[in-house]
Amino acid sequence: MKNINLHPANLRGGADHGWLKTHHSFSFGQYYNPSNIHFGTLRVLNDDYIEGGMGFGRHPHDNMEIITIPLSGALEHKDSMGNSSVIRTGEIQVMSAGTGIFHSEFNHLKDTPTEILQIWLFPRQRNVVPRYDQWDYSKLVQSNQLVQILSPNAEDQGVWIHQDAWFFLGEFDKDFSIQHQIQKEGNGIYAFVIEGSFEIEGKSLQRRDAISITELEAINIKSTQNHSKILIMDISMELPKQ
Amino acid sequence: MGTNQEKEYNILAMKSDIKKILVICYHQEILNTLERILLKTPNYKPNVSSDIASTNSYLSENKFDAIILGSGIPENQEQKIERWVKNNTSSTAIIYHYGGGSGLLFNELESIFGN
Repeated sequence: MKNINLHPANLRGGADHGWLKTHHSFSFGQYYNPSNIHFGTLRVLNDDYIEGGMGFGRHPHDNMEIITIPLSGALEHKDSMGNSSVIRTGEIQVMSAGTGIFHSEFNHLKDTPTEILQIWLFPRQRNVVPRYDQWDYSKLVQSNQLVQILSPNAEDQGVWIHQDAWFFLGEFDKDFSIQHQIQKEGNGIYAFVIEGSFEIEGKSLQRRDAISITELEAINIKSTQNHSKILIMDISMELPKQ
Repeated sequence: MGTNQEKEYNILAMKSDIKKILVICYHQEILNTLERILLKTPNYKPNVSSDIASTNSYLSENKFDAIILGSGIPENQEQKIERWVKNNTSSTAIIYHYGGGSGLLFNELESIFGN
């Protein structure tokens, strides 16, 4: 039986550290809600606003698939694998943390805030070899289409991760409708409104609201405002060892 | 590990709200980070191990409230630890740690020790 849950933006956890204003869609850091830990293998969805020149100093990650999507500005990344790069709006970055890596992330811009979504998924296998990648999807974006930016397949469009998940981004005109087909039987959908507003499976979503859906083969999405942007995450519901 | 001081501590821990935690992680720098984070919470008493010999020693000489399985542990060793805990100390919780630092660690512990 289909299961649809709306997650209003104002019910997210979060913190204001001055240099960082963050909203947590799932329990993270000091925000702990036992009924809101994860959606399938999607464990973290943080919506971060980072002041100019500020950021996260050197810190570790392991056994997580970590995806970063800048919404505005630019993020400077350095890691223990020797990667040093800047990711900007229109790009996606992925790290398979596996056996362990250290990295730092700073707002590359000195006087302008950078906004990012940081998304963590449980890998299907623990202790894989760490890896890093980033990809520019900006030239593929067209109005009223979903663009695949992540998949489990190295040969497929976008970055890839060690999990049965697919991510799509799209920007839509008002009243444009589209249907998204579930990519793998048993997967669920977590849709997050980046800008504007949408109607999904009869529910109304505003900016930064989300909706989770399971037990459906396809979902119906309708933009209710011009320039509405959405991230569709097609997520495996099979959890690893907990 | 098996010193008189440790044995006294074990008794003390049983009488108080202190949680004895064994952190096993084969990435030494991440292990150090996890230990440093746990030491910030007065109720958590962490011991750390980055190899199977010291893990065996800790397990045979202590009773832990939780064992955190961090990164890099070979699957066969992880399974051995799981079996040992199941057969010898069923009240010890096993936590499969994901993430690396503090972001999820307190959530993982809260899910075991929280009210």
